[in-house]
Amino acid sequence: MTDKEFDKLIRSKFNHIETPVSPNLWNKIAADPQKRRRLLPWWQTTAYLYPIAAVAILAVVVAAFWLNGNLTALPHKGDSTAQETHEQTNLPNPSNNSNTSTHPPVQNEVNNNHTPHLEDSSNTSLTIQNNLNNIHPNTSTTSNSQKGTPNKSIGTLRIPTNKQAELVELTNDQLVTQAGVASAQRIQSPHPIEAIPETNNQWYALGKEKITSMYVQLPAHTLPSLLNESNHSIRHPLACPENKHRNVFIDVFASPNIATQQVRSTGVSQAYLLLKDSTERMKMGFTIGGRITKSIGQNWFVSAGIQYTQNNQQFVQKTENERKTTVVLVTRSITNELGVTTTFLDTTTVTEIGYRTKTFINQYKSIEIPIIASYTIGNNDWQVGLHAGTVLGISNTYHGYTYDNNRNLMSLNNSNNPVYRSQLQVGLVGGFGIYKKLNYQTTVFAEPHFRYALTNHQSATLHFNQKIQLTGITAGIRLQLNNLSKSSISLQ
Amino acid sequence: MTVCLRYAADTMEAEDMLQEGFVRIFNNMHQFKFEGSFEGWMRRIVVNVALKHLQKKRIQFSEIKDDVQQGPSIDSYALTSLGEADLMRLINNLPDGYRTVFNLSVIEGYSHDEIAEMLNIQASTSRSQLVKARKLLQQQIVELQKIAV
Repeated sequence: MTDKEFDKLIRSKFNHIETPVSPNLWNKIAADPQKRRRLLPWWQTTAYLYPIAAVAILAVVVAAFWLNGNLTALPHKGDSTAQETHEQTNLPNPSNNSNTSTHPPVQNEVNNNHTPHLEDSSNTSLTIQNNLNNIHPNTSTTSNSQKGTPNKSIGTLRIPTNKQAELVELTNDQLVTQAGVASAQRIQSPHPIEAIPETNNQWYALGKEKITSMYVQLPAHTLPSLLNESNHSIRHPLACPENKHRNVFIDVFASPNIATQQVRSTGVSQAYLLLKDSTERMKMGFTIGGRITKSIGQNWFVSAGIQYTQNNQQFVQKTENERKTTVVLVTRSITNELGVTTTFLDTTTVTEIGYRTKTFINQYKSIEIPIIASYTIGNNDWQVGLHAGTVLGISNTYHGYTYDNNRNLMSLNNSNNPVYRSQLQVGLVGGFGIYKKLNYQTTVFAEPHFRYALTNHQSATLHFNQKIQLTGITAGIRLQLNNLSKSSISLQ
Repeated sequence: MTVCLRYAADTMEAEDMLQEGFVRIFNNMHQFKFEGSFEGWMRRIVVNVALKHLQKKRIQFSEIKDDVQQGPSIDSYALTSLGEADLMRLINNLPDGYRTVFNLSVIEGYSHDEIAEMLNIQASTSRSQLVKARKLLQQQIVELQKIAV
């Protein structure tokens, strides 16, 4: 016998062998998966999976935004404009130099073009003009000599907040006192600078006149174009274009929702649909939540967050042929032939036949993750835009009453009667928004929106498809997370 | 159970293998893609579980010796007349290394390269183990036949 024949015979022997197992073995096998499932840590159970995933995603997004914001606050190495800014930060403390009458260091800092000594008032004025022209390119000038001046800072001059304050005060004190009487007469300020704002809020609080007065103290023809702009346009003199592109906001919002219910039969009768339609009526619901919003470019925003939505539904059960028996008191008066009236008090029962209504409020609650992109246009104060995105329902709970397939009343509950979906639901949301800026850090907004449910609301145990569509107005407040006072700023 | 018994040292170990194998089957039922027979898929899982058990025991694969003698000649009648229980017992009496390679190669039909990969051994080791197992098994069958006669 060859090896192959031997192997073949052995294999054929084992094809028909059946070995009995102990009866307890199957019990062990049946119990083992449940046992292992129970041994799963709580964070691996389905009930916690989606909320934990949502929180983790949010944490990563917030951390990314936070790191991004901090990185943008760092100086830009190799940026010629930033280097120029750095040079200007070498300005001496004005408070120390306010009484100095000779050789102030202003020429080294303010004059980028090797301006002659400041004792020459005309040259000093020219120097400041050049710099202000750099700051405000739209300013019309009368000096021909400016045209040939090389312009290192085109359009925008960026300097740190505190350094800007030094620059303004320098032009206020040193320039006026040292540039000569003629110039001083022209640049007297109706609002002398008392204290240099240190924060953006303080700058904002100064208002147009105050800030303008700082510029007024410079030669008149060098006034910035701010004067010709609207009052609102100087609300953000410190807004940095680069930071504007990297702004991160946190939105807190709430929305009343008007819900509509769509039911389509997949097996139930028309009578069932009519019964359901006459019994259930959607009521006002609401959404509350928060989200992180990041601007991309000038007009685009992306948002992601977490929100809670509750849809309310009035369920009115009407049962016919209901009998209601009431005990009533009956007073009878009997007058005999002698004219004596006797009053009797008796009881009897009255049975009413009719229908009875029972009213319940069904509640559908969802924890959701909205991911929305929006495009806005407008000025610094008012903006309008369109937004669209998706809403992922990660955890859904409900309680109340409904009819089963046989039109019997049954209670809704996640645990004992899972007739509605408790897992992921997906919807699309779209609408437009109106945004009003209150100050450099705060914006209020209203976003009328419509949400279309892509997934069915109910589970497969009911023979119909049910979707709930929402229409509402999201009202909220948007707070800027970036701290501009720590970063470089610009004069616009 | 028969598959497990061929790899296990005793019935208790076989039952442990079978239990773990079924748990794996139930847990990974969704991974079955209906591309082959379900029985084959189950069998493969059970075999893998059995091999995992054997790896825990760190079975030793002894190299073949040059002085291995030619095995006794065995006729087909001796094998066909052998009962399944006796054959199972003879296989169980093989050393672990022999038994494992013999089961994988002769019963399951794996190639030596596949066995080498599954057991993390050389393919030549698998061949030598199979040769030695086969001869030892034939020798035991012959001796069992002599006793019966």
